[in-house]
Amino acid sequence: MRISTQQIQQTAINALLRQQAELSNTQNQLALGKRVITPSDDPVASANLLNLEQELEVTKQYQFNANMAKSRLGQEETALTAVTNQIHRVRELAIQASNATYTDEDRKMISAEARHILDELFDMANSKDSNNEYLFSGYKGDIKPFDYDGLNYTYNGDDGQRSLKIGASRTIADGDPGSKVFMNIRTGNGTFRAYDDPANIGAGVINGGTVTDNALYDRLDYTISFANNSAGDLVYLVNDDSAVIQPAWVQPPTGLPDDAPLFVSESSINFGRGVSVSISGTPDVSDTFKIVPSPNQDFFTTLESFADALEAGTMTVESQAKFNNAMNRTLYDIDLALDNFLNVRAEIGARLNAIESQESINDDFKIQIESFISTIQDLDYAEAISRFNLQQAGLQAAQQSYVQIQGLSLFNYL
Amino acid sequence: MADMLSIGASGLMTYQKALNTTGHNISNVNTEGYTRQRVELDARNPSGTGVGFFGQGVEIDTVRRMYDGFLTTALQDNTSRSSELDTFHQFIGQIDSLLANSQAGLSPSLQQFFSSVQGVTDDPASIPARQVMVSEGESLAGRFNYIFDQLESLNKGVNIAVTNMAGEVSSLAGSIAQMNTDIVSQTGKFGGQPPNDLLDQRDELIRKLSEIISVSTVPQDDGALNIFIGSGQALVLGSDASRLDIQANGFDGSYPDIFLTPALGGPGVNISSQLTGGSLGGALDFRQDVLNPTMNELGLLAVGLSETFNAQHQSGLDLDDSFGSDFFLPLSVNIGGHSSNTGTGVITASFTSAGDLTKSDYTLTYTGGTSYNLIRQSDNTAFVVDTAVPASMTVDGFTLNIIAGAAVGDKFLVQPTRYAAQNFDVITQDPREIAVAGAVRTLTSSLNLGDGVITEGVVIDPADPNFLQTAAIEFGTSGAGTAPYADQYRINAGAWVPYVSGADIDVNGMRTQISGAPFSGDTFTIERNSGGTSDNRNGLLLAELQTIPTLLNNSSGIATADYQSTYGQMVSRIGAKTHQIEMSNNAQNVLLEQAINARGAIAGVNLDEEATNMLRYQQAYQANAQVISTANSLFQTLINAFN
Repeated sequence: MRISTQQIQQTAINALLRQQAELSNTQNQLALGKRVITPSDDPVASANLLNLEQELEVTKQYQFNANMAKSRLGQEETALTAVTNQIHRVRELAIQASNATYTDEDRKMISAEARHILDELFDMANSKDSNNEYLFSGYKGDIKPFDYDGLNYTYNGDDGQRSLKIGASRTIADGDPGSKVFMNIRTGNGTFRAYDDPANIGAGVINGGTVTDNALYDRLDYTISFANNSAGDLVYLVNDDSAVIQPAWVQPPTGLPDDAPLFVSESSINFGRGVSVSISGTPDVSDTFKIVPSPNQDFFTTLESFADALEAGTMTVESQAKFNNAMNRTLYDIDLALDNFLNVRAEIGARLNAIESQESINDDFKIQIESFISTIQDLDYAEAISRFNLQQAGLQAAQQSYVQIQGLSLFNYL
Repeated sequence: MADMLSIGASGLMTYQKALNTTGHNISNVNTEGYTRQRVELDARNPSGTGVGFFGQGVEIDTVRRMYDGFLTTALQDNTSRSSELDTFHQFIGQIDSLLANSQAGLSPSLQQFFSSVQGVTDDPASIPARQVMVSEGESLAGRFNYIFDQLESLNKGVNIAVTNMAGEVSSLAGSIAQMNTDIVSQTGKFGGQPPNDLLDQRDELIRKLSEIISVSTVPQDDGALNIFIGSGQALVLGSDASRLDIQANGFDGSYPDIFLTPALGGPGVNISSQLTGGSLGGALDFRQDVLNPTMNELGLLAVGLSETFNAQHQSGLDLDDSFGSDFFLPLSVNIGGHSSNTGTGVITASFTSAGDLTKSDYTLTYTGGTSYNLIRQSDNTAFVVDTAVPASMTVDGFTLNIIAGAAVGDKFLVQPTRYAAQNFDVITQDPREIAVAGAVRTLTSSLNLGDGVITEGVVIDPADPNFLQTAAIEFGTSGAGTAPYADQYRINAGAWVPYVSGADIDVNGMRTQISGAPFSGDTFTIERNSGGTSDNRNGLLLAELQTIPTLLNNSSGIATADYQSTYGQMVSRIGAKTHQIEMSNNAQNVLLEQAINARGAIAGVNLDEEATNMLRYQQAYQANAQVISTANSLFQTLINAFN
């Protein structure tokens, strides 16, 4: 085959340029440590990389959110731990104060401590987190959640519970509204509340009672009243206050004192509606006691009434009975409040656990994505270096052979 | 002896010419387009005698150009294809590396913007976090604008290149026509002998022309060569050359259209869409197939992001309890009337569904009566718009509003997304105005005795006349037997509705659900949220937009791509196209090299060959001199015989 002189030159130059381009590309890969430098190097990988990097960033964001939620829940947990400890103290005080050997003076001192605790809890309920937002005001983070006007405790927050996204399909609440923690706490035994009429003058003290048959208990309002039967014995009667037509006697259905059961102190009063209460001491025949489905009460009011009861004095039979009734109620209410706080804390604990487990899922996912990104994008150095050496040798060979061919000309011999 | 002298002299003359030609070859060893020449020798006509024919020496038949028309055409074709791919590759490579650069690409900004949204969601009351979201939004906008500017300046570069190349084609065409004239006259002057070097020069001009545009050539009997471009338009006919002129596009003045102005006069013809091959074809293809769709695709993302993000932002409440306004500047459809329009019709358009947008442009033509014809350019799908009923039409995620007045044949170019990335901007500047709180809240009365639980409400119908007015939901019993459990509820003391646990309760454009066992007399409230500075419900939805598909609906109207993957598709499309062009370009370079070599094998000068020729002709020359010398000595012998 015939080859022109220009062709020999051009072929050699083309080969040199090609080798140089390849070498420079490999050098660029080595310098950056990446296999894919521009999208055209591997279009599919480039698009994948963009998506993977987004997933990575989003996962990092989830981890950040998880930390945020953890720290907020931690602050709430700290506050509630303090609150719970104080409630234990209040419970002790209530039991102490019920002790018959205590004088009214002693009780006033207990009352002073109870009021002190009340102030402290009120402050705690109004505490702020590290971002200067109130911990317990729901969505209204910059509004002081609890107020006292001298008579009533009011809640100014709302029922909002903020969530943070800590996983692709997982959100977690980073707090609890004050309405749930401090305000709407069931009273009595949690199902119903048994209490003495404030107008009572006898010595009857009602206990909290229990639900004996959940299926039978219809959650209606009942009044226990008393009468003397024809034999002159004290009997009790139970009326259903919720019925449209009054009176609606439940026990006895006739409503006649002679059909009614005898009142025996401390023995169970049972009227076929699935609940049982007992009354100790002897009530006056005009006294009444009520059984109603548990209403809500805020914890501050519970403490306030406790302190009020302590200060009311126990000089008369009547006031002693009132005091005892109040102490009974207080103990029940405090126990329910304690339950409520413990429930909230248990929920916080569960959330913290959920965050922990989500964090480790996120971590695994992050590592997985990172290694996937590395597989797609990172350079195989061993391969690249050996390629580099090979290309370098190729370029050198091309250069040397070019120089030698250059010297070959017949004109040298003319 | 006279014969012998004449024979020797013919040899001397001939080989001198042959040596000249060899020298000419050697001196043109590096001349582009040069074809080696060879002196064709012939024996002179013999003189006949009774004893036979005696040779009369040597003569030159012609100086032949070692030319192969097929190889020359193949070289022109391959040059065209190669420079087309080269140009395409040069341009697309710029987009490729623009998108590859992690500092310049859109991804990091998109990422950081949504991180800042998360930041606000994590801590809605924090003004600094909100400020960060505004500035990250601005830097995202800056990134959109930057990429648009880069693409736009590439567009300008293409347009300038196209203009320059059209000029160069005209000037080459002129040179070739001139060359045709010279060749025809020289050929005629010297009895049909080919003017080799002029032919070479013309071939070289044609090769240069084919670098710019694909050409086909038709040789004429008189030696001229006619040149055709595009789909058969004559560029050079004998000694006449046409011109390529640039005229502004009727829809967009910055966009050059190429017109062929015939040499013999007559109106210019727009041949922009018919030109193929060469760097001009490459540039036009790049603009058509890559640059325009990419600008539209980037714009689609910009429109999609602003439309969907704004919509969500508007359904939340800001720190001052007002509904959010647009966070990003609402973008608009670009509509250009054709410069030849005579009517007064006005077309406006607005976006209706970001997910349905495509990356195509559209042309709208008034066809008379109430009828307009809308053509989607990407696939030439035609939609007929009847302005009688209704006066507007929604196509592919945007709505056209047509104000009558157009003259029949008036044309409009509708570009829904073309300039969106250029105009992308943040308009919410006050961090307090970022709306991350939910619009609705529900409250449970603390007096409730039952255990009914109400969900956080949502907005379902902002158009409700009593939108967000407070509604009290009160429970009651319909009759005896269920008390105290409620079996019905009423809203604002209206009619009683049977209670179904967990069922939707819709009121005043809001929706909530109540589940559990509420007591008769229990109340719940659903109302407009207020004071919710720590509320992040709308923020969660805004942040979620990052990862849920909102764009590029499939045929059943389901969105298939989130922002990032919309961008990813664009990047991978550019990457794949660049890769493909790179591969084709490499292959084409090999073909071009082969074509050059094939031509070189016939036409190229080989110095070694010329050296041997030189020796050969030199020897022949010396031998011929010897013939003369011998003739001389014969003559001397004869003269001496007389002395």
